[in-house]
Amino acid sequence: MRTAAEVEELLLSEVPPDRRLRVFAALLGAASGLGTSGLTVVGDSAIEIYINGAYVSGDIDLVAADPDKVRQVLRAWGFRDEGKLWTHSKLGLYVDLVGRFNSGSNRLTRVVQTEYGSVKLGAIEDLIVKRLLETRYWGQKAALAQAILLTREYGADLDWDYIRFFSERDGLDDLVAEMRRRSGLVRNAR
Amino acid sequence: MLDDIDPGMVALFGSQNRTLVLAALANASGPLSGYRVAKLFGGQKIKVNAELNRLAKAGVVTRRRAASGRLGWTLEDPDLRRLLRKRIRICFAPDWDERRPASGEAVDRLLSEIEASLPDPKVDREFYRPKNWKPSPAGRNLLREKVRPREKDAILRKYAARTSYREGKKL
Repeated sequence: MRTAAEVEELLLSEVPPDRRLRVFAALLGAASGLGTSGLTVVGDSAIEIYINGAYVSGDIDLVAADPDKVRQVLRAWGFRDEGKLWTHSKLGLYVDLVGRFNSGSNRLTRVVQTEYGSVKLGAIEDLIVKRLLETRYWGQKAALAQAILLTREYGADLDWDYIRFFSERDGLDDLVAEMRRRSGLVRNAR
Repeated sequence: MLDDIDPGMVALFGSQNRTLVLAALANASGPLSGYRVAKLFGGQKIKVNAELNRLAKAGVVTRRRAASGRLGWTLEDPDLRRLLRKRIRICFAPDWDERRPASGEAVDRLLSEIEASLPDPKVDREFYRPKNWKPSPAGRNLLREKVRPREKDAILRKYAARTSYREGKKL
């Protein structure tokens, strides 16, 4: 396992800021022994990796098959347990171990192989459905903007039957149509 | 080796190794060497090469020269590529990055532009939440995942880190 100093050196000096999240997750998966299958980045941090956004410190949501193994590594790397989050202010990383099981699809997750190991990301389809639900329930423009950008970049490869199942269940069909129109994906991508 | 891939695809293609070899090629933007294919999913190089040769004999995969001049393997059938890209998503980070049009602050600007173009929730309420709309019980559970404990944003604020746009949202 890499030492705390090595991880700091790597993340702060060698890895560009917009790659930091995914490299951190890959290192954590390897060091905890959970590997790609046992650790999944979900939520906003997964979106940040998908859309390649500028890295701004925020929390990282992780689903870990064995959270204790992750906690051991975080402790060894100098993270502080502050209850809801494991924090490392120097690295600007704040980890939330959200659970053992991903509530979304495992089949539609994405594995990205970095030079430091591989990282598994929650399914884009689940991220989109949840953002559309937020848009509807809370009138959240930021959530809809994220869904549109994800569709713009990945629309052709998405499982639209999966999205349709949830959108029909929760009355989101009009938002799906609007999202597809605004992302330039007018034709059905089945 | 990746061990939790779509069982339907494994059943369709006959083996986990073959499925992963094909998925690696389907997700790549150019030809990949046997070594790169094996590295992508943690397979054994010897088994991956044997599989690639079998698939080449059957005309499923082809040897092509990459832009670098090196020979590599490709899967060219567009329907097969599309199916595999939908069901098994694995890729190398640099290859993935090359295909994404923007990065860093450019993405943030793009997000802001999209957000600015959307209707104002205070004015166009029907667009966001039509009258009588209610989430299903399962949808409500998904929303519950998005309700943040106050403690979380308090910790982030303490470190001057970014808090979520969901802060304070309630069900």
